[in-house]
Amino acid sequence: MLNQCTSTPESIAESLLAGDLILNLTGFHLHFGCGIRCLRFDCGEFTISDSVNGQCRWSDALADALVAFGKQCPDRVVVVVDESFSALDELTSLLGHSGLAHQVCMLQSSCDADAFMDEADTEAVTERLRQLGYI
Amino acid sequence: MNLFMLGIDGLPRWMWQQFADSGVMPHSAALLKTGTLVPMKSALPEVSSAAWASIVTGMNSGGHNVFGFTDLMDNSYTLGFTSSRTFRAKPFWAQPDAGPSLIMNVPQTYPAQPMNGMLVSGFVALDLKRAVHPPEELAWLEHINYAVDADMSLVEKGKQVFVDELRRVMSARCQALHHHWDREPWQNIMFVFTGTDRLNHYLWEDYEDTSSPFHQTFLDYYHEVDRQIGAILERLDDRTTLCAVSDHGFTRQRLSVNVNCLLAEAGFLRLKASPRPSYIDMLPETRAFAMDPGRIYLHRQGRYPNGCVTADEAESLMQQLTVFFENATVDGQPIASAVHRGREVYSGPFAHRAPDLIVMPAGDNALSGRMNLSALIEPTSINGKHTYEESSFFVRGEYLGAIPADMKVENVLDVVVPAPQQLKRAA
Repeated sequence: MLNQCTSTPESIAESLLAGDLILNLTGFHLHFGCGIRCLRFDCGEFTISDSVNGQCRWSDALADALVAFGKQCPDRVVVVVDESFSALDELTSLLGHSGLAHQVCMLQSSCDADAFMDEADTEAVTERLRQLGYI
Repeated sequence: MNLFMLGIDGLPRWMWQQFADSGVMPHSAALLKTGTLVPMKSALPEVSSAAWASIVTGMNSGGHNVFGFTDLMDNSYTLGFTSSRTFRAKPFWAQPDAGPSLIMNVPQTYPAQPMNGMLVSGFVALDLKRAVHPPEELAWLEHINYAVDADMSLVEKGKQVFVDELRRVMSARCQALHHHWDREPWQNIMFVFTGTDRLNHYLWEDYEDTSSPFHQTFLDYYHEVDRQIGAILERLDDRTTLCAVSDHGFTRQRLSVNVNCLLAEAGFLRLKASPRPSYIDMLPETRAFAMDPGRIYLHRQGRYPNGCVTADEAESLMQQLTVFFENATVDGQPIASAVHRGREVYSGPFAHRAPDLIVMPAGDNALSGRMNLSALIEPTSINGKHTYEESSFFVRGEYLGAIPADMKVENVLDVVVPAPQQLKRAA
């Protein structure tokens, strides 16, 4: 889908444009620099914060508020979810009908050292790949 | 048995047909008459690790997370070598209803992971002890001197010695296949010849030069591969779906062009001085870098610790790089035949780890992503390179999915193991 992407909590800044608003529907702390604004949901209303990396919980009330917010918000909202988020179809349908400029970003776990060859094998693997011109 | 998937690494479809027609591969000639052979497109870039991963999962690299033999660990400049652990999608033998499978020599399956059946890892595999599941099968393989990989250092001892090594390794692998074939009621068998790729890399010039003393050596090797294919075919019945695939095509290579050299010369890549330069030596002002073979990454903020390229700048930079590569020449020859956008070719849960651009090599150029910037054109004895187009896809069977007009490696499973709604009787 055009308005969907994937990222990790540490890399999400690469998916953000200047002026974006973040709606974090995960339990993860997201890493991004200064100047990125977050949406907080309190007492049935959204507020915009410059400094708080808040997490929001999906609910009917939040969904209704998002529709209302979309009517007045000129900025793009990046909605961050993860694999445990069970209402993705409902969310994407709501966003599609809301008129809100948006992107849904699905968080994945990071690909770190455990995902690759053991460090002890580095030299041998390097040589094998070199022999075939890969590196 | 439901499925026998035969892999012939690096065998171009046109070459297989040519050898079948000319008598070099008579068993293949008979085989090809019983089904459908079409050209297939490889992975982007056209590298074995990504292509075989796509063949066995039915996904492009954004779905299975293997983009090449190397990758950078997330949020770092640490180079990692992809392994079976990098694989984040289930191959067909790990699907819930697959049944017991015998999987031999499939690239990107090292170290061997537990599965329902038996698996012997393929390239890049280092140690047989870590290449076998279940481990109790190791002793017999050691007994027959099964090699997880040909000793490529023998290239330096001459082409005949090298080809003899390829034959030795192939012989042991085939012996292992037939030994294990009847030991269980396998639902699926997959077996890959990889010596063909090694032969093509180092003896392609001898294939093209019919006066070369090694031209017949090249043909004889394929004749032996075909003899082994014949032995496999003798054991298959008509009820088994048979699929034969290669992961990419092949063509002549004359030059290896260091893409990071080009990027450095143009100011996109800046390295600090280092005796053995690597990605960790990239200076913060680096805007783009390359990984093999032709993967281009923007040095993005958020993605890399010192990344400087913002999301707002990315589009403009990609356009700039695309024009750069489309116009770049070496020795008066263009280096790129095409430049693809990562976001247009990859999809799936790992698409965010994809390269931003993929540069496809032009003509007989190969592209490297070395960080040693001492030479734009790198010396190599390799004279054959992969192609994106013209890998092989052959299939015969009763219950098959439709073969797409633009067949790609990630479509293989759709054809050979179709979802129920995609079934059609084979013509």
